[in-house]
Amino acid sequence: MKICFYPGCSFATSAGYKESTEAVCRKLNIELNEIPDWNCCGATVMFGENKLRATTLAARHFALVQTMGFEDLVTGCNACYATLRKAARLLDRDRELFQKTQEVLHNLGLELDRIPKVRHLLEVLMEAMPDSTSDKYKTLSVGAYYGCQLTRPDQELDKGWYPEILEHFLARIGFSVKEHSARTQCCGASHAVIYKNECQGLSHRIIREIANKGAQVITTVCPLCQFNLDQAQTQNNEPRLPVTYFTQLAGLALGLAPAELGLNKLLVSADKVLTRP
Amino acid sequence: MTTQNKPKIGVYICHCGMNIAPKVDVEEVARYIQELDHVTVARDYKFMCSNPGQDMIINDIKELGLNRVVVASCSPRMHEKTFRNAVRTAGLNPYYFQMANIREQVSWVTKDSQEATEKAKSMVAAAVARVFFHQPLDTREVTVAKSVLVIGGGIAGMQAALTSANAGYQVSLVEREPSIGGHMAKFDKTFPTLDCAACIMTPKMVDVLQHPGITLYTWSEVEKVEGFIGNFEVTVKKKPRYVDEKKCTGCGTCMQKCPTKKILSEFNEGLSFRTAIYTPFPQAVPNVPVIDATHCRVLGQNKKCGVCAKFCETKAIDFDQKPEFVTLKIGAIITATGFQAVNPTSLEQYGYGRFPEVYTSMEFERLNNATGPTSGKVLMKNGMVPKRVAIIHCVGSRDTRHKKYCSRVCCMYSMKFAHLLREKTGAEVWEFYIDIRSPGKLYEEFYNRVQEEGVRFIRGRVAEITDMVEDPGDEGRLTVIAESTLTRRTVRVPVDMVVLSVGLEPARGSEDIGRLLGLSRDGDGWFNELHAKLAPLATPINGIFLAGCCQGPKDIPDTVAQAMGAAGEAIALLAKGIVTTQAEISRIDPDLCSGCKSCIESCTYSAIRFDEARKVAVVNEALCMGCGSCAAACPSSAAGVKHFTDKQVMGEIEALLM
Ligand SMILES: Cc1cc2nc3c(=O)[nH]c(=O)nc-3n(C[C@H](O)[C@H](O)[C@H](O)COP(=O)(O)OP(=O)(O)OC[C@H]3O[C@@H](n4cnc5c(N)ncnc54)[C@H](O)[C@@H]3O)c2cc1C
Ligand code: SF4
Ligand code: SF4
Repeated sequence: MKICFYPGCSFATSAGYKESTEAVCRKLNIELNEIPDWNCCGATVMFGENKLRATTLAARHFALVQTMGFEDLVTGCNACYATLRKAARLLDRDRELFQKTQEVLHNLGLELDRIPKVRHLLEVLMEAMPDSTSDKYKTLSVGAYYGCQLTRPDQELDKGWYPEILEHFLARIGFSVKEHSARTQCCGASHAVIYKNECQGLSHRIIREIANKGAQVITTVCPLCQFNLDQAQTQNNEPRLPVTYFTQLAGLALGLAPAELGLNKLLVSADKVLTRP
Repeated sequence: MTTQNKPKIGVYICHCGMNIAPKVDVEEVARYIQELDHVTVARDYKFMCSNPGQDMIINDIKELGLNRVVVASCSPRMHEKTFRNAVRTAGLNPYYFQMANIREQVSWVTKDSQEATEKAKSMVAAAVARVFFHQPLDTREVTVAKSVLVIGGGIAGMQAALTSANAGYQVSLVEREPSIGGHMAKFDKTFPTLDCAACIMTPKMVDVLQHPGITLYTWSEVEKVEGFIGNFEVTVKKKPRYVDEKKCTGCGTCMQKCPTKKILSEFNEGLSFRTAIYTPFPQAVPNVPVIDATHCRVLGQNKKCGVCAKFCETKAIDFDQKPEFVTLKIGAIITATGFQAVNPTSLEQYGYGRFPEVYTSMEFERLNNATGPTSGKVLMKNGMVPKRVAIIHCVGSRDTRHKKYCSRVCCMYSMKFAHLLREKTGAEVWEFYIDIRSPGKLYEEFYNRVQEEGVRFIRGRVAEITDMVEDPGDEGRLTVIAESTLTRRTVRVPVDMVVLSVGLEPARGSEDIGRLLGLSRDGDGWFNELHAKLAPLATPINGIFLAGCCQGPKDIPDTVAQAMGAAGEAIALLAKGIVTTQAEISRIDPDLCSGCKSCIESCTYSAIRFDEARKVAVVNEALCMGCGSCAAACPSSAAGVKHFTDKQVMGEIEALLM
């Protein structure tokens, strides 16, 4: 399988997302075609600034996807996912905005005729991962954390408030899952950088809930979520739960070595829970 | 007939008080129309529908020898009948009349006065052109069957049946559940007077059963409806009960002995179990059990059992019962299929189905009911009495993502719950509301009363109900998170129990009943009344009436009033003994008909049959509703609808386009 991949600004520098994604895709024969010369998607802030600029930042990739000959665009970041989808939706509904965006892109030497489907890496792996045949991780209980931007507002992937696809996915690839109520609570997202103190509380709330419900490890589908939840735990002594990427767990399920998956980069070490008999 | 060959048309332009006149220059319209061919007189008047207005028409017909009349005023739905009657009074065939709607279609919707006047002129001219081609038509009188069918045995259906039967008419009441009673049978107390529901309900149920004029068909459904006003032919399907109603004494032994005991009770909203042979509740009417064939060991699982049959002293159990079909001759039909409570599972943020202590209002009704699963004690699943309870209003109502309408009864029943909780448990009660809607008699007083009883009201839609613990003391409780729009703060209230005041939606299967009866439904699925203000109980189908919640959410007082009203309408219709059929029906010209049968397929009322001898299609005038499908389908222009002939319609259009 070949996919057109948009990494987004935080992918490469995150704690093992890049390593694990690449390792898993290699193992599953998924060819990751990175969009050449990609730019920041504008994240959530840009729409408040200027609609045309915000859509253009996103739409530049839509044009590049078209040049590459792909129908879909895949990203592993919830903020990118939400932002690109929002731009796609606006362009689809607003003829005038679409034409203006086309003009701007045209001046950059790019043509945009059709809007690709924006997909999350989770969808790709849900289709590609084989069912588990081993009991190795059956006793490792995972709390799945979706973040607030994956299923809302458009609820395409799953229900908006209490999604369950990640649980189904984890169970299918051989992990035990713990139900909990923090799955779509906000972790603070990019505000964690500027309003650190305010956002710490948000992250702690999520970690506490997942720990309360008995999970040993958290898994996330977004670099911002992972970073916020992981680093929030460096400053307090509440229960410490390693915060992994779903791709890292997928890698383990495929029999890849922890180091190959960048698991050593987590702030709260996962060594103990993963090496338990 | 010579006078009618030479049309003499009188035209009357109505001011409708201030509704038409200031916007449309009515005098100018009259002047313009006066100049048209065949127009004998054109006048304007303040209220054409008033007595002097009608007299003006009658006098002109008599004195000026008019033989065609046009009134330009409001919608024909409002006053076509009025003016046709005036024309008839003057001795003219009422179909020599045409109405132009210059109110709804002109003055109310056109901004510019000049434009409105021009538009009115051309619409009145079109009516004049049309009436030129009108022909006299005759209505016919048919006798009616003196019987009423009531569909649905909730409080609405029961009341409608009793009122009709008391007037001496034969009533058939069809209820699809094993017992009549509907939602009200599940309540303990009713707002605002807190009457004991059972005390006012059970005697009525028994009355229905014992009334010599009422035949009760429970565990039955309407299968087919044919015919027309006064002469419906209805087929009722009696589902197999597997218990012989005539032999059963209602002793209840079978239910005690049945070994299949773990079936969730529908009547108790899944909060308790029932057996495979059951009556929904002890006071069920009729007090004859049914066997739930899916769960029964003999009927559903091909196992040996038959314990009920062994213990039944009167040998009433009959595993071989088959559905039975009964055909009824019916004069008028009252639809009373009620509502169902919205299932809140899809409002995931409220955790219904996930958190055991989140209840729907119907579940709470059972929890609070003396005959319910806890014998009326409000207890949590762990057997403890709740110390703090939240009641969430407008769940699924007044929400563009769910039902956009207000469900009308939930504010009131929420406050009823609050009162009962305070009284029974002393628990702290928090109501989360958008606005309090208490517009009935003694309702606002009830609202004041519960406030005095210490119930807390937070104005704000609840964002989320969660089991996430913020404060260690709240372990095991649920937290309600909402924005209090009065204090402009987010509130987090830890509670033991949550009641979701879910909205009302049309009963399951309303669509099918609608299709069977030919009733239309509004965007939300409720049955449409003929006119929101002036014909709230009638439907566009003559002889079919509405009662209770099937027409829209309402409380018991309104439901009962409506049921009595619908029965009154039905009685008024039947008392006359005859109905006049409409004259605007299809006519198939046998000389033009090629016998292709296209019309027969197109007719939804099965009103056309094929005459094999003459090889032409023939319309049954009693069944035809004049919809015109056949006229559109006929490739030979043989089928046409009277009063909508090509000449009439084209004449009207041509004048409009001039
Ligand atoms: C939680 C709750 C509490 C309430 N409390 C109060 C209160 O305290 N006071 C008050 O005034 N109002 C109250 N109401 C409103 C009250 O329930 C209604 O006004 C009343 O029940 C309406 O009666 P109905 O006969 O129209 O409908 P229903 O009670 O729904 O009865 C309809 C009947 O028709 C039957 N039926 C449906 N479809 C078919 C079919 N196709 N064929 C045959 N039979 C069919 C059903 O089985 C049912 O028996 C409350 C409502 C709710 C949800
Ligand atoms: S009656 Fe009250 S609770 Fe029910 S929908 Fe209307 S406003 Fe909401
Ligand atoms: S107008 Fe024609 S199609 Fe309509 S009901 Fe009459 S016969 Fe049937």
